[in-house]
Amino acid sequence: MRIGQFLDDRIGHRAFFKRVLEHPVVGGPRWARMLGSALLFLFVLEAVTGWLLMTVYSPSTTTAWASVHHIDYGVESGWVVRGLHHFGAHACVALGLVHLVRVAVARAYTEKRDVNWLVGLALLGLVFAFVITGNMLPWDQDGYWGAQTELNIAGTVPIVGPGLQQLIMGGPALGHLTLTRFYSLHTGVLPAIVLGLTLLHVALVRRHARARAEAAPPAKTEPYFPRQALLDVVGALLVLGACFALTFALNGAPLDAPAQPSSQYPANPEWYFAPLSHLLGMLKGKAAVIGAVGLPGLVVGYLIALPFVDRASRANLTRRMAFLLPLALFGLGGVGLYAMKSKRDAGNEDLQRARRMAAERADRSIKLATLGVPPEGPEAMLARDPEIRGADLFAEHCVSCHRLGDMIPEEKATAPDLTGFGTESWAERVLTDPDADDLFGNTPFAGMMPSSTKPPKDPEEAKHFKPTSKRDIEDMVDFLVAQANGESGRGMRGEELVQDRCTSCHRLDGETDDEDSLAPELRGWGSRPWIEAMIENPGSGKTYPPAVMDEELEGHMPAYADPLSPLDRRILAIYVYRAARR
Amino acid sequence: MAGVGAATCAAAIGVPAVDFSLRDAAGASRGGERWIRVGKLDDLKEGVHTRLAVVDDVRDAYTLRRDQVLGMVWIKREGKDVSALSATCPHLGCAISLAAGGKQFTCPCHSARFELDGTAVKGPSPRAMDPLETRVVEGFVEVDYRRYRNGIETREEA
Repeated sequence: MRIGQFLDDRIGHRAFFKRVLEHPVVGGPRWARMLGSALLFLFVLEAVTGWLLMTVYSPSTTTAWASVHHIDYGVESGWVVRGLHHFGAHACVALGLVHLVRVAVARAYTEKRDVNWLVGLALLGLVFAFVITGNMLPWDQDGYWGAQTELNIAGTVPIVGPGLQQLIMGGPALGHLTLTRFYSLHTGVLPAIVLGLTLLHVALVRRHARARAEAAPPAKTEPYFPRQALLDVVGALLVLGACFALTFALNGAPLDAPAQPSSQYPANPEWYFAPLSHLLGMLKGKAAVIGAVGLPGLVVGYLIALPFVDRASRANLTRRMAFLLPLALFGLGGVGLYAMKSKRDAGNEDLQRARRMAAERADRSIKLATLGVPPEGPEAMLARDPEIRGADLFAEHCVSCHRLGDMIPEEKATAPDLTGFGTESWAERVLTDPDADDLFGNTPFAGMMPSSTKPPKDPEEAKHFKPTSKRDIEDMVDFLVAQANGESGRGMRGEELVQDRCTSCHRLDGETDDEDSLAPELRGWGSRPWIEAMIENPGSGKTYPPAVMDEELEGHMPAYADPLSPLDRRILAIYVYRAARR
Repeated sequence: MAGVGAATCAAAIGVPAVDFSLRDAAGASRGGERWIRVGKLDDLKEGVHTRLAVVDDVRDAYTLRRDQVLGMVWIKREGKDVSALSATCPHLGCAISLAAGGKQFTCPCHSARFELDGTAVKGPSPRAMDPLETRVVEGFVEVDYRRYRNGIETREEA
């Protein structure tokens, strides 16, 4: 080819390619050697997908999450690119560890390969630096709290801890500057260092291979191309295939709800940190510092020392096993801790509930963001959403007394369970068993409302008791549910029954037989305006009469007109209304 | 000569670079008092532990966010005096809540337990809950809100 010759005269590229492809491989092609080039391939994959992501991603606390959401949902094939980047990163960690073990087992650190072993260790350490910086970039709950945990641990390192923590955070707390600092590391500093070390690593491998080939008989040596090259290509394809498979099977990389620094989040470390995290959770005080710093230090120390301690060119099985024993122990220990953690987490009800709620929040945030994220950031978007803001308000103000679905009071509930409030089953229960523990049994109203179907405890009264018929109960329930659904219910048979039987205590359209009774207004019962009025002031008369706000009535519901803005009260009412029906 | 030139170049770039990276770039001030209003004295029931939010404006480098929740505090009123304990767990920063029964505090992250006066009883917390100074100004309870470093036995401001 004339152009080829023209360029070769000026660049001399043909000699370079010849050297690469004819690089001597002693002992023939091996699958084990495929790992190194698979990692090299992954590095290229991460770089290319990374550059693509950089064309959309925006590294600030108000735009990061929204830009990642846009990558996933707004950009053609964005979710594929991000998926490859995400699972490619996991593959880097997994293959890096496998490569380390393979080299250690084969004792491929002897005969002047000790420095190259150290370079390899440094590269593995940099892979971890990549995942630590990268996981925080979406600025979602998972990434934010993961980084927070890691920084807290960094802060416990003796002497340098606080300074190190400050340096990494770029300030007194996680914020804008932490994000940009991590971004600079992840996209600039770390790639440059890894590129340099990778070239050195490959150069040293080839240098040793050449030296070995010169010493070995020519019959056992062959060029890299075609056979080992083929194995390497197959390896790269397998790795790429795995990344694609995971991306498609799991619908791309995960995206959690936007980071909320003030929230409580069940932080879950990635699989490669999980064993250490579990160990730390079991330790206390000084022991935790030893665990956090000392144990990894020990592992790293062992790995660094290995080629300098195990120097013999040849080793018998016993010798090999002796040196590999610590590695095996660490490996088994890691797997064991991971299994322990998985088992414990699965049995932890509170944790599973918190994770469910976090997943719901993530789904809701993703759905909302498709409508557009305001410039103040996704937090502002969530603050206006009844589901999320409502849940936050409920958690802050109501859950101390009321249960609602997965929101459970920390202490015994002293107010009715709102799960199903306004539905048939709730209305039926309050008619038949109002003093149940999860209704009014633990409130100051216990004993005030009689059951419509069960006889009263007092034997005298029980003599005169006539249980309400099933049909009557059903009709009254229908009327109440109509109220909750915002219908007037006028003319319903249930309305007549309620008028006849319930207004001895209850109010209907403001009218009652007993003005001193504490029973609530039933018109509009359980509807959103009724709930909103209840939140604003339970004793306004729109729901319960003013007497329920009496100081003597201990444990009554307070009014929220003051602590909550009208918008928040509206949001909370909508939330309770919808959540009750889920 | 060449060596001096190279060293000068390195220093000329290096000194501002180190200063840029290592100094506190966020421009925030640390230490000192930070009195924040948390609620009305009259709203607090005698002898009962209440969890209140500490809300203030937060500056993050170049952004000012108004009315952010900085953290939570457990407040108890005894007559005219108000005591406050930070609800941030000294172990790893999770939010401390009241245990079932109301006789102890508990942290959900790693099951740390504390007495109602803040003393650590069980679990991985390296020290007691952090007490905070309070004062009452014009009927409002104010807390001198501070954050302390996690995971260590001594109480050091973060």
